[in-house]
Amino acid sequence: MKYLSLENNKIVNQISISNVDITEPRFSINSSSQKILVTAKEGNFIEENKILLKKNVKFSSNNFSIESDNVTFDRVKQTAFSEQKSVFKSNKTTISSEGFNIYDNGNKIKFFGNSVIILK
Amino acid sequence: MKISLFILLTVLITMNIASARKVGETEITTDDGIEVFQNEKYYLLNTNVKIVSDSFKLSGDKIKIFFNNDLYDINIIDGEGNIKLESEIYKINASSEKLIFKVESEEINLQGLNSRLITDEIEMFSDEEINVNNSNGNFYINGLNSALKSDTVLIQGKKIEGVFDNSQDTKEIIILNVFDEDLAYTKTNNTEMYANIINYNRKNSLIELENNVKIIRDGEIITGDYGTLNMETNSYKVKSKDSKKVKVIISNQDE
Repeated sequence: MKYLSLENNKIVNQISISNVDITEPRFSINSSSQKILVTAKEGNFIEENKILLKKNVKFSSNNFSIESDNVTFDRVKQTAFSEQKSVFKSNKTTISSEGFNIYDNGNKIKFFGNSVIILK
Repeated sequence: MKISLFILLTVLITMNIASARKVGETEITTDDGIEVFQNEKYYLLNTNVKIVSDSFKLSGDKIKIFFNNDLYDINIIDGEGNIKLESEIYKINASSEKLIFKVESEEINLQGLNSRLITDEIEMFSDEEINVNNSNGNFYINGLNSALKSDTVLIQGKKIEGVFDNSQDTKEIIILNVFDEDLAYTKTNNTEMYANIINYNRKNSLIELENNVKIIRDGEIITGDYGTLNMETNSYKVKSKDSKKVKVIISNQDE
């Protein structure tokens, strides 16, 4: 924590304050067909159930992974949304896009904007 | 200096784009995203979609791809809006409003106005539907302005169906059946034929014409109920249910 205490315009005490609500958060999105593990370096509550995940945000399941920065995760609705560049990887497939939205318990993923799929 | 830097940058960007897809890979680009439906096993590609692989190029406004287990394991391609398909390897050039391609059966279905499928040997046109199954050789062309064209024959009719010999490199037609309640039309080297039903079988090299038959050759017009044209001898016969009804008109006009 960082904290500044002033007395007679002088810093008399300094306590380190972090802007991060959760360090290395871990969540999961569960559906009947798969479990998606959500990890990041940092997380901040923006609403009661919405967390802004930052830095090395990763969604991984047995079928695929998505990497991005600044992802909003709704832990009640089990959705995730990002307008940052993201990379989806699954077996012999890579999708690069300008963001994504995971909904319907992870069964549906919408990739935004100019998108490229490479099938190997 | 600025111009040469600009040229260099343009070349580098172009090289980067050109090298984005490696040999053996398929690259799909869209202007407005992709929706993946994992349980339903398909993905939607939205706006200005381009698919480029080693063997073909396909573009369209919106394309839906069904897959078997993983996204790369493509089963059916279903596209609509400004569909264009090119394949140098398979020597195919096609365009239509809607396309369905079934990978396993190698079946291509084109729908909509100005649908066309061009190969080295045959050209197919329709304002409604063209369907070719490459694995068994079956094909049909349905609807208004349907036509099939090759170097030696032109066929027009509302319903054209047949079978290719797909055992050889060249796609030769084995069986052809044409139906049009108005009149189907066929033109070979020097003969024009009209009838409601036109059938061809390669085994006997015979074109059969049924109902409202009219054969035109060298200024001679023959009408009747039934006719045949032997493609090997180029000779024809016309019959009528009432034998007196066969009619011959000989024109003296120079062509």
